[in-house]
Amino acid sequence: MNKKYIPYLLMLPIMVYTLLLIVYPLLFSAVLAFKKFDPISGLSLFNMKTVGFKNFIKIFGDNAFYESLFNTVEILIIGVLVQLIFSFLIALALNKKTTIYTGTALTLILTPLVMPMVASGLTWRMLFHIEYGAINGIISSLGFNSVNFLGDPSLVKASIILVDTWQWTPLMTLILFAGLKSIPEEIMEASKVDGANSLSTLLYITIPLLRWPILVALLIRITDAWKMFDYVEALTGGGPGYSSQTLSYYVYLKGFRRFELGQAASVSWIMLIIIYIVCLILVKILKPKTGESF
Amino acid sequence: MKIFILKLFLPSILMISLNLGNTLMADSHEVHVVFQTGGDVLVAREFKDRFEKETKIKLSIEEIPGGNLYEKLVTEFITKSGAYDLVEFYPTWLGGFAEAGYLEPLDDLFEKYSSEIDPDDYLEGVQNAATVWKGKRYGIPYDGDVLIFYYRKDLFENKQYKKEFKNTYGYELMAPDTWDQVLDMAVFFDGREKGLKGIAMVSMRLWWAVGYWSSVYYAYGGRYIDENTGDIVLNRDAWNKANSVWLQMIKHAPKGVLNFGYTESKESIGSGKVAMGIQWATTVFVDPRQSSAHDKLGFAMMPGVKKADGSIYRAPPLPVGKVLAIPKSSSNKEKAFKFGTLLSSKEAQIWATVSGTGVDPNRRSVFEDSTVKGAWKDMISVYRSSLEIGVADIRVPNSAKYYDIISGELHSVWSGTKSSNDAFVDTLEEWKDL
Repeated sequence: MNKKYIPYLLMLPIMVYTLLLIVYPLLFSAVLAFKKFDPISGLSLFNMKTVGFKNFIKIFGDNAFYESLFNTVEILIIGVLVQLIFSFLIALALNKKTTIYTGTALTLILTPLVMPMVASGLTWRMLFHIEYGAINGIISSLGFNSVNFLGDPSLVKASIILVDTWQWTPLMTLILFAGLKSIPEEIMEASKVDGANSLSTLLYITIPLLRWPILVALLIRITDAWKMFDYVEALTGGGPGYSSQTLSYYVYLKGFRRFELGQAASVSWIMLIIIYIVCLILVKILKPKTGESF
Repeated sequence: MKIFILKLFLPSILMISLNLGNTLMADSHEVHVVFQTGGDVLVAREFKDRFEKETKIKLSIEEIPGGNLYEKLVTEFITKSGAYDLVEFYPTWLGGFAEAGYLEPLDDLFEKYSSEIDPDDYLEGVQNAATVWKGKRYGIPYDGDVLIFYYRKDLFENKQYKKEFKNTYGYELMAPDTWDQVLDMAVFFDGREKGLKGIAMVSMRLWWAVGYWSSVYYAYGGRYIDENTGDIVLNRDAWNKANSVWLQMIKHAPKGVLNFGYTESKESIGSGKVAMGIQWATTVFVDPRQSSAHDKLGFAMMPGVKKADGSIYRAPPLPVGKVLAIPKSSSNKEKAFKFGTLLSSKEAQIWATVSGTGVDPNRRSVFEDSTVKGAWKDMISVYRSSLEIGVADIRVPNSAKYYDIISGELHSVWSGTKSSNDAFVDTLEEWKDL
């Protein structure tokens, strides 16, 4: 065999994978967003009626879409900010002094990460249970009224954020801790020699040098939280009412409860475009200038 | 180089061949049946060995959680993979599935095996009618669900409570006939004993929670869709009255009732933590293994509304229920039919009832059986009467969409995030849009 074909041959599996599992579904959903799915004629795009922008018009005229969008944005902004603050503090504490317990502490902190999201959601659903949940058991034993974490519209989003924070703060901690470890000792020592105190070292040395890890952590978590589905399904089913329904859950309802596949595809594309723009802005703001990165 | 390429791809080729082989082997002699997780599948499991031994047909049983049943079935029907031979689902979906051509008409098979099946033994009424769409039979009746009213007999017969109630409300404390009386009693019993609440009912954001709420809505004359014309017949007055009653009931229900599914509601009634409850008629509540309040519970037909002539109009809903059907794409239709009719036989229904599976009978002969009478105790007459006058779920095509919309809107009302009237308007608009 001619040697010049070998690289192409080696690339073939990943090319096939990309075409079949990424490019084809993307194109399929892009066309589907302008079609009306009919259960009788099946999944062939050629048999589906083209409806132009009707799916998008329907979505933009649906109150449930705006409620889902608002819920998603609220959970995302509050959740990711809280996780960033917590993870930063934990990473700083772990980095302060490395002892024989640091590894154990890190392992324990990372434990929630290994749990499947649905299992976490179901576990927390039991913990939150108003009558039999451990959390309400503690609250009641302290003499307070039990709290309706998942049935009160004013509390339900906070409850979801709590679960999300519990599970995903460790990931951010890991990224930031690795970032802290990569800062050269010489820079820290030089700042001390120059008379910088702890606060100015943190503000002018540590945080600027952590811009890459922070950016990576934020990008991972924002894209993840944007498509939050598992916790909503396991904890609340989008209720009470629509008060915890996220965009992904809305897509699920449209796609798999109502089988309005065209509308579900159009919401997916709206979601993709929004998150793409958000990520671009974030990269623009946080990306270190040339020469700043390690 | 050739050897290198062979090494690279050989494992994949072997894996694919093995998988293909397994799939073909499995398809050639297995009947694949699909049930909802929970008590429903127990009947299938119980009769599996016997069926396999007698017919030499191998069965494989798959369980799907109820919440995912619709999406799994529709996905299978659309892709026409032929993976399922017998499926269990709710009658509310039958019209849509039949209309889309997903199901095999069963009239010929029913006729062929008529003497073994004895179709005349099925109770007349909606449960049986639920297997028929536009004159053709597509389903085998399986689980006969109907909602009835539960109350704590010991509390309702307590002399002190009877006296206090009469002094306060001016009428006798007894199983309620109307929804107004239910509200009085819920207020009366809420907190009267330590940990006691007024009433429990399923109020989660679920499609079949709408069936529970329909106990009140139907009684006030409300209906959803005219099956003959397909017209939406939502009734604003009945809607608002039903929501007003439901919101009052929520106030006297256990905390967290907005997250009550079947399990939570069953637990509240079965453990006697509530004075009253709405739930499916089931032997679960008279079974000491499953209900600690089994000897304290009384059963009544669903309350209604007093008419001008003094009579009570009751309309107990028949939410959920189950039918068995055969997908058109199945290649083992007759074999699957045989297993389906075995599960719907008198023998299977007696076993299901006595074993407390929650799968309830719909054959006349089963109601006459002494072991079933013993298992159902006082509940049997209430169950049968309710079954005969019950109101069916929405059955027109798109029923899942109708329920998805209305369940979200009603839950917004119950959680206080939307007014009843606004929810009515939004539901009507969205329904019309379908």
